[in-house]
Amino acid sequence: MTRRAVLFFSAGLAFALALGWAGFPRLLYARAEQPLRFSHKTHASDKTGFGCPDCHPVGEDGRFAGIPRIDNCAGCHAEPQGETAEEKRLVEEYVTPGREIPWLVYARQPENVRFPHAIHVTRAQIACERCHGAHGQKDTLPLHETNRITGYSRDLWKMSDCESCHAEQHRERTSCLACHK
Amino acid sequence: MPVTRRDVLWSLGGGLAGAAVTPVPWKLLDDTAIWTQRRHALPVPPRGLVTFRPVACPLCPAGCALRVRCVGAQPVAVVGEARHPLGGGACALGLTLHHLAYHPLRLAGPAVRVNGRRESVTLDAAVERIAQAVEYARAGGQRVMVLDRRPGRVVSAAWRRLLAARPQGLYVTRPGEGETLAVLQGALAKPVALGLDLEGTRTLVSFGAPVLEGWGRPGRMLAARKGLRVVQVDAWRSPTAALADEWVSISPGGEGPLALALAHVVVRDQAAPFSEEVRRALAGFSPLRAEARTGVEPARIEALARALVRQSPAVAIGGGDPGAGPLPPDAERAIALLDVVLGSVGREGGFVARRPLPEAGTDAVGAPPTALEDVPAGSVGVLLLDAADDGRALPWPLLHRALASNAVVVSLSPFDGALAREAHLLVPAPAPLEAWDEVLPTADASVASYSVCAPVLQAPPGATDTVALVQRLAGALRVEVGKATHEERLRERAAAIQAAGRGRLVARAEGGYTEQAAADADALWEALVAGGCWIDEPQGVTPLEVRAPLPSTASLERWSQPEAAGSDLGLVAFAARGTAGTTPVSPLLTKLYQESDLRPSARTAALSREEAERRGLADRQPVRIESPAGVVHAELRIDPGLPPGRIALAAGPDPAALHPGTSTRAVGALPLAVAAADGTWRETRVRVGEA
Repeated sequence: MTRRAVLFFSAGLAFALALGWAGFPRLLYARAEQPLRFSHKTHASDKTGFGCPDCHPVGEDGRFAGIPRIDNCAGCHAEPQGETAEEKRLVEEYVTPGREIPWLVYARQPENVRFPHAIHVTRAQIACERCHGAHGQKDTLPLHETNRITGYSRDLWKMSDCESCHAEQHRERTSCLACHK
Repeated sequence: MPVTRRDVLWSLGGGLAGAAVTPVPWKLLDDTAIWTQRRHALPVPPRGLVTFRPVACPLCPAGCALRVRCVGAQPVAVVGEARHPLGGGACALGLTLHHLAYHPLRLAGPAVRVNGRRESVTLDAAVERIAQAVEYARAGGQRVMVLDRRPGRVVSAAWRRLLAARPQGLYVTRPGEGETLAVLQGALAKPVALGLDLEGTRTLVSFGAPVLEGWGRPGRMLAARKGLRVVQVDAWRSPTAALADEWVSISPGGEGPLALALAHVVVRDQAAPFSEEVRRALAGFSPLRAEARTGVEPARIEALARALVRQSPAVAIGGGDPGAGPLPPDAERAIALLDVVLGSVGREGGFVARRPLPEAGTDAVGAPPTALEDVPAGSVGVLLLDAADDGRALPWPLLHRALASNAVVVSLSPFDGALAREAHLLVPAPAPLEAWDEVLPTADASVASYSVCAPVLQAPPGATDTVALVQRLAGALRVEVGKATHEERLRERAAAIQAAGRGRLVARAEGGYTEQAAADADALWEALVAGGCWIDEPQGVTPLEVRAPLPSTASLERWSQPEAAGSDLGLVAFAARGTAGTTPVSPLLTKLYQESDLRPSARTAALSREEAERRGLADRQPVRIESPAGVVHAELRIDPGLPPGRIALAAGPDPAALHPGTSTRAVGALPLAVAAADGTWRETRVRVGEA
């Protein structure tokens, strides 16, 4: 291989690497901001004393509440808690008219999958951070990234993630019907 | 520096090499695969409030209690009611119940079949055609026959009233799982309905009935299994035989002779007095002589008979297999005779009296049931096939025998499969989950029970509720059958139960069931619609006087002789309950029947290694199976557990239902069935060769 060939080969290589690692993810994912700024850090601070289950409870019947409805927010935010523009928007646009906040969900499952929080959180005592990361300590919500091909969120766990965790735990059967419906 | 073609190729090579170590190709492959799973053709249930609706499974008479998970109004999943007081759980078919309304074989509306093709007609036109056919049959002295495979419902009562008003009306039912009980009921000095005190039984001898696979109320059997010894008498290693404590392999058709041989040993060894008639009937069935006909060693017959006496209460059950059909009536009499000599009638852990289910006054009148084999050949001008399914096979030749050459066949099944393929006129009833239904006590139940099932889905405009169809037909024929709707008739029945003033109501409650009193008929109805169940009081165990039911002299003579040897093979047909009836199975059951081999499909026939070698056939070879009734093709499987001299072939599920549109060729055991005069096809013999 001549020096000239090495040069052009390297240029092609570098371009592909740059495009593949830097450009491709930007092209693949559509980014969107959440409709409202929300600080998990503030809500889950020592001052409020809230933990994850206070806003995202698993009911006695095993149903997971998911993202809290606006009624839950209204308990504290019927009046603005501060003077920020976001707080004002929360009260005026959502709490007062009783309109649900159109949150973009990071963990919306495919239709053929069920994920019972009750079994994972209540029975297996798996910490929320194990799957969601240190979400509760963040001051802002990350951008919601949607895969343009699959339509799923970038933050959604993949089947291989579930399988490896099940294999580690040695607790649950990993037959198809354990997760799929 | 001019860029040459070679430079471009080098840079492309570098680009390709670089791309291979980036996520681009792998991520694109992965995401494209996921994209194919969410393309727009796939139905996506709407998001909405998640609710659970109680239903009863209509796929077989067990009527297992289920809960349908709905998102908004859309059913998305089915689960069994594990805590139901009559026994919980659900089979694979029940778990796919919500698929059936969308089955590719589903009929959109009334149609006539012209030269093998369906042409849509209006409901009025369809009713008019049936009415004309009925009048034409009357003029020609032919009969009008309704085949009801789940008798005892309010729909059955409507049919019976309609037929009673026509001089040529015939209401026909088929033998089911309770044939042994029916024989015993007929032998009682004072007729009462019988049930089985399964919870007190210590030994259950099943003559081919799939007692551990889908029989009676499966949840009840599962609950009683722990203290029960099950002996399965079967011609192949059926799922029940595999799960039983003991499998007795018999020659096809050996059920009657084996029952008599067991009774022979019991009578010989006991001091109890038996009539001379019984002793004479059993005289020719010593274990030694029965071996030739049953294929069971004499020592084993002796040991089994002694075990039945030692481990009493012991009961013997017939009823047949859903694919192999009912046992011959004489075989049922032989099994019932075994029960009588074992002293199992009218005792704890045996057959006990049960009160009948209260009926509304209007339900008690109508045409009496007739057995299909009693219908004269060629006498039926109009055959109406009711939509209800018992989950058991019925070969078309058995019905065809009764039809006149110009007969009109009308199917009310929601699907164009199984017997509906033979129909000239199709008037589809609502699919499962779309109509009112009721659950009657199973044949084995020791007490009566009742529950109802409200529709979960709205039936499409082309589907006609059977009660409404009977009323329209009655209007066209100027016959009175009552104006009450299906729901109103069910309410009348619930009111009759309330008026009887007995039994208890077990209502659906948060997390399970709770016993509560119904203040009035409306309260009972509301509780039943909400998933509750009415359960009768046990009648108590009282001794019952019973005559010994004896097989006919012809059967006794035939069974006492060794079977003539021949090169033909005995056909062992089989099917799981619900897979060989008129309702197709969900196409998603392909995994159970095709890909996993968990269940033998109707496309594979099993032979023993010895038999295959004798015929020069190899494993997985295509074979041609021929009987006087027809020919089917299948793939051969060597089954080391299958004794020589027989071939095992499933009667369902129909591959055309599992793979709609790919094949409608006749396969499975049913096209081979040779109907005997008693309406059975268990003694069919076939020839097997290379395809």
